[in-house]
Amino acid sequence: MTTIAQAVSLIRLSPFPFIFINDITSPRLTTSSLISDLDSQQNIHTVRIDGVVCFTARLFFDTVINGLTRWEPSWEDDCANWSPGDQQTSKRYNDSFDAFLHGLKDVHDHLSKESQQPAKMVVVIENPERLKEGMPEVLVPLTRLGELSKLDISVVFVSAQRWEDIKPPLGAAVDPYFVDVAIPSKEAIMKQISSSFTDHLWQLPSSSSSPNPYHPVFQPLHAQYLSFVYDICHTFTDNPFEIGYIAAARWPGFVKPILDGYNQRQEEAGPDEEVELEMPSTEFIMRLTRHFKPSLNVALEQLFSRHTNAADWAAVNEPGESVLDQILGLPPSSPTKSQPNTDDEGMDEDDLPQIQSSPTRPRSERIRNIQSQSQFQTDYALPLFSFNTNNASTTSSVALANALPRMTRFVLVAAFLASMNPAKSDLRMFGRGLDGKKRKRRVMRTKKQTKPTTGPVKIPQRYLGPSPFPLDRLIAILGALIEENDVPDSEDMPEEFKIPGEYTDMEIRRVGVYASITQLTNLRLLVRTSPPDRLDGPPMYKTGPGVASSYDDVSAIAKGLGITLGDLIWEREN
Amino acid sequence: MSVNLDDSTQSVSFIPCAESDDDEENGTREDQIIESFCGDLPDGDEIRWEAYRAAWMKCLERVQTIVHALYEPVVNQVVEKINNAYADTLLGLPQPELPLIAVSNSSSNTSFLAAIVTTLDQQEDTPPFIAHLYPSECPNIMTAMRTLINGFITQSTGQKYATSARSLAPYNIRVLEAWYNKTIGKPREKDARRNLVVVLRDFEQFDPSVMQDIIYICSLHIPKLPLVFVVSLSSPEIPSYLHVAYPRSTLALLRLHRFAVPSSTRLLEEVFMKTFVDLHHDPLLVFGPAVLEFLLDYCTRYNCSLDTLLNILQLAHLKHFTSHIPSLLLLSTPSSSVIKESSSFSFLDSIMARLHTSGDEDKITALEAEVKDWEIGNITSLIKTVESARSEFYCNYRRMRLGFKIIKIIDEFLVSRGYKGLDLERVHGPGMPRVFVALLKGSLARDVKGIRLIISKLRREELANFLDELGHLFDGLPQSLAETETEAADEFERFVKDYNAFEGDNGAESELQNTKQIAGRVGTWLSQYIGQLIDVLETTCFLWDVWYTGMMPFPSETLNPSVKASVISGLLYPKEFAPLLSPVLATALSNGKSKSGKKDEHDSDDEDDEKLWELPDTSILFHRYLESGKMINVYDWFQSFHDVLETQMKEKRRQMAQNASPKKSSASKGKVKGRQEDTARAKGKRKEEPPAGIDVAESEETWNLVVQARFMRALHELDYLGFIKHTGRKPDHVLRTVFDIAD
Repeated sequence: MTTIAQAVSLIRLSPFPFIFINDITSPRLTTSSLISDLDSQQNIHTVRIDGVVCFTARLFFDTVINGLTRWEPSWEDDCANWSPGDQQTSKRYNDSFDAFLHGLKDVHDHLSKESQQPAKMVVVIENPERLKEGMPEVLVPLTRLGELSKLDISVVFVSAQRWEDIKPPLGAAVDPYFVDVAIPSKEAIMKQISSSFTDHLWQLPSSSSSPNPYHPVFQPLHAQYLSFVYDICHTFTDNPFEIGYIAAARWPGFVKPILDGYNQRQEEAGPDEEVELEMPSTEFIMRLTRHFKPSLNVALEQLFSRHTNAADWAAVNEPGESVLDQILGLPPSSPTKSQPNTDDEGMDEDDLPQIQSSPTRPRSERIRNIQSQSQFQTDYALPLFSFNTNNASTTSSVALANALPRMTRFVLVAAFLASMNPAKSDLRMFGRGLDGKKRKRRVMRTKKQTKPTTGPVKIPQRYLGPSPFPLDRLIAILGALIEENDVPDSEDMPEEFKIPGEYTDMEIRRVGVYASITQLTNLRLLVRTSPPDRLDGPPMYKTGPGVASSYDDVSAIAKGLGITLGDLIWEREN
Repeated sequence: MSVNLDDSTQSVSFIPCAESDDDEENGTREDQIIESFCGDLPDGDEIRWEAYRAAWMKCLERVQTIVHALYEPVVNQVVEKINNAYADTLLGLPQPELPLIAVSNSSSNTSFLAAIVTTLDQQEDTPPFIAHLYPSECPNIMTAMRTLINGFITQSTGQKYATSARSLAPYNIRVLEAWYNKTIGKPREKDARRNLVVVLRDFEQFDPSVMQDIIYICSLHIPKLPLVFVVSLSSPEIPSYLHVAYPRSTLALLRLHRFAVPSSTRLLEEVFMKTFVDLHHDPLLVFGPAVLEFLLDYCTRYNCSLDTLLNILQLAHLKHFTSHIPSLLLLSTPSSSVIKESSSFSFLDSIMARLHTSGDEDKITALEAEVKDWEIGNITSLIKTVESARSEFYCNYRRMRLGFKIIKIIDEFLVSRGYKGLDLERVHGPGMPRVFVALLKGSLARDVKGIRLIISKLRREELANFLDELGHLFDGLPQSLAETETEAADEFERFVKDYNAFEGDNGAESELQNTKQIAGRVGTWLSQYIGQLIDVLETTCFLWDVWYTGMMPFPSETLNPSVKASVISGLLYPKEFAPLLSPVLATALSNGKSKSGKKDEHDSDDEDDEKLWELPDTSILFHRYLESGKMINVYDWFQSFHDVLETQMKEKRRQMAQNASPKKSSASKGKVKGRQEDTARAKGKRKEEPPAGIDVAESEETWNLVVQARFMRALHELDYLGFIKHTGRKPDHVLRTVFDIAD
């Protein structure tokens, strides 16, 4: 007997007013099965509430009342809520908890009248932790709903969090009856996936002339396939949704060699011969799984993080025609030899010809081809902006550096320095002597602690993340960077600037610089920490999450500008 | 109309240009000055306006066409994805996914989204419902949901959902469901489904915590409600903003499709090459290297959105037509009857002066020198000369672009053969646009000379291919160019013929010889021909500056001023920031001054002799501020300000007395300008103080109050501008924040 079934029996047999189900893997699935199990019971009226959806009390009350009575508001009646048919329509149940209790009573009367016996109501609430944030005042009465309404009503919370984290303070709420759902076993997950997501697919119409991957013949194979997917994925996730997602993305590709083989056989056979689509042999299945194993790892990597979606991934990674031959031609005695081969097969099958063709063809020919293609639309294929991309930097920083204008890149580097260096270090880092030469500065390195010191340990800034800085400081550091790296030569210098540093002084206070800062804030590469309506004092910023706060990425961007970031960071590693 | 600059309730004051209603005589005299100096036609402004409109509209249309063509493929892809969002889904997924189409677009969001929306709207079968969400409308989940729901409902029914206490709350997604069921009809046909498209602009501005909830709520109602989210991101595709800002639990609800619009650098290059360089497009106003260089610099350095691009182009157009009087000749020459009128004589004068300026002698070609000497005796011939100059200029410009095109063909040809090419980009900066700027500057001459040598060294089959490519070019010339370049085309045909004649010979020795000879001849001819084509535009034609901006710098200060420097120079030289004349006249005046050559005795001391008391209050205070030490005693400051105002009052009394007596007719322009401002200011002050000088018996007390009030106002203005820092340490003292101003 599963935990859910136990919970259902509990609700059915004894009127427990408040039950808390804790499921850390997939509360959503648990709720679904609980609801469907309860609905199959006689005379139990359920409603499913989501803490995220019901973000106000009114929404919550409406949803409960309409849900228990299965009332569908229609546009024709101006989306009116449920009201008992025989009474006047002046009552409203959604303005206070009290009215809501009245509403529940009316609902109970209505339901009891319909079924000729006292009705039992169950309110199942998903994401109850959100109720605590959105309307904490409802949470306590909700836990005592049966007591307050004097009705046979149970409230069930289903959450991935513990009750201790949700519980209102001061012990105002009743302690629930706890039900903990165990982490599901492999069998349970596989059963859940096939029963909830894929069982209906086998009923899809599929003609034998052009069978689809969901032909009923494949149903046993699918079970094996699921077990195979689970084995690969279960170290990363236990969530049936995720495993089902990856399984769904790979399945059409997995079955394709079998379908290809079937089509081949059909072509070879005469027109009047009937070719049966049949379950492949065990050996073939083994080869199939071995072939697709590497691609599943890739699928896990790309799909679990949602860098692409399942449909696109399935389309890109659809195995080509040659995969079948490969699987069939594989000598069974030497599986290890074929391993490297299979690694990229099925993955880059579509891209392969292009990739291979490029280095083999002579360069001149290639360029000519490109140019002749682009001759008529764009007769200039050469890039306008040369950017130094040959350094070993991450792709994201290169992409970012290409997309950002030069001044914005300077601002980004300056912001990183302002966020990572303490303000007291600026003079040492960027100060110049009167002679215009850069001061010799002593780089402070974090010394290895020889003896334990008292007091709190100083954590290096790079572990603490970016710290906020005022706009003025950003501008000043920007000025230092520009003075060092972006001042025109003496012959290109506009005539009106005679004093050294005057050009930079003009440059860093231009509207364009402020616009760049705003643009970076819009891109969330900078985050403004002070409210925009505060006029006193300079606005405060810090670097945003992701690229802007990563040393490696900013360093790559700085390199493109001719700045060595390592020299300007106060606390260097080791 | 009176202007009260001191009215604190007004955030903006309009100061009408050259307003002089309180001094009629002053005004008429100014008109005379303007007319005698500017050399303009009476309705010159209107003609220039028309010319500006024509030139700018042509430019704008061109840019828009280019951008549209650039966006079109992506727009089509996105629209297709939206339409098929619920049609082609993968079977067997654990839950239906909410389609979210993320478009990364760093160049321009509005025009791209507008293109998508129009394409969607124009669909014949089942156009989707579209709701727009803006970041400002979504501060919290309740408002966001209400806007979303009402967005759809208003689109179809024309009015918002009217809620009542007994019906669903307006932010309840069930409302949308009820509306959708009713609109689509209960027995839903599969193919008649209309998607609900939510367009979110500036997606980075949305609060992720709000968006997370919206996505969650919407995901629970698909596919009953076929919602499709289209978000426009201004951040680049990698690193993905969505993956940084949103948790995996939200991303798992979405079916994410990502598209990237051609980058802004690509856009710039495309617009540049197709607007200024393309042989098939003739702009009306041709930009010189200064403007184009600024365009490229600004876009690489600061911002490269479509809006910036258009702003710069429009400003350059405006600048040309507002500051350059002869630009009225751009579209057409005024008829002789207009020119014959006496009011046009000054204009005629200036044009004729251009023809007879000795300084330009060496620049004008022999042909024009001839024209100049004897032909332009009457107005008809002048008109004819201007007309021919116009067509000649456009022709020269076309030829120049042809020259550039040939250079580019040579370069690309060489690179495609694996040679080094002409190496233009290394010398003249990255990208072909920079090379074109260099060409306009006339600094490509050396490269052109090098062409002769390179071409003469081509091998036989290379020569054949090269002649082939050139042949394609000559065949594909636009009509206007084909007419003028017949000679060159003939010459080229001759080479091809010669080459074909040699083709017949098979002897290896003679083949080598022949190839060498022909290649040598082609090289020589080509380098000469290109040399002719790319002659600098300034020198080739009379009145070139009507159609060409040349080295005239772009007014970069209007687009990208340095804030601090502008504020300080505004305080130091306030008059320079309040031009009383339109820019055309101001330039004309300064030109007239320098051209007429006679030094007005007041002119020379116009700038140096700006007395402190003539300045506005804030400026007076700021001058004193600069003279003080690190800390300023406010009382001393006030005293010095008081002294200046005393002088101001005395001077004004003196002027009043002078004005009462008959005016001197020989007042200088500079004085006129200065005085006019004074009167304007005095007029402004009239509300708070009785005009100085009229009421002589003004009581001392009132005057002191007025001075104090003016001091306080000026002080607070400086405070507001950030020049003063208050200190609690010393009473009556404030700190300076700005030092070392080099003026």
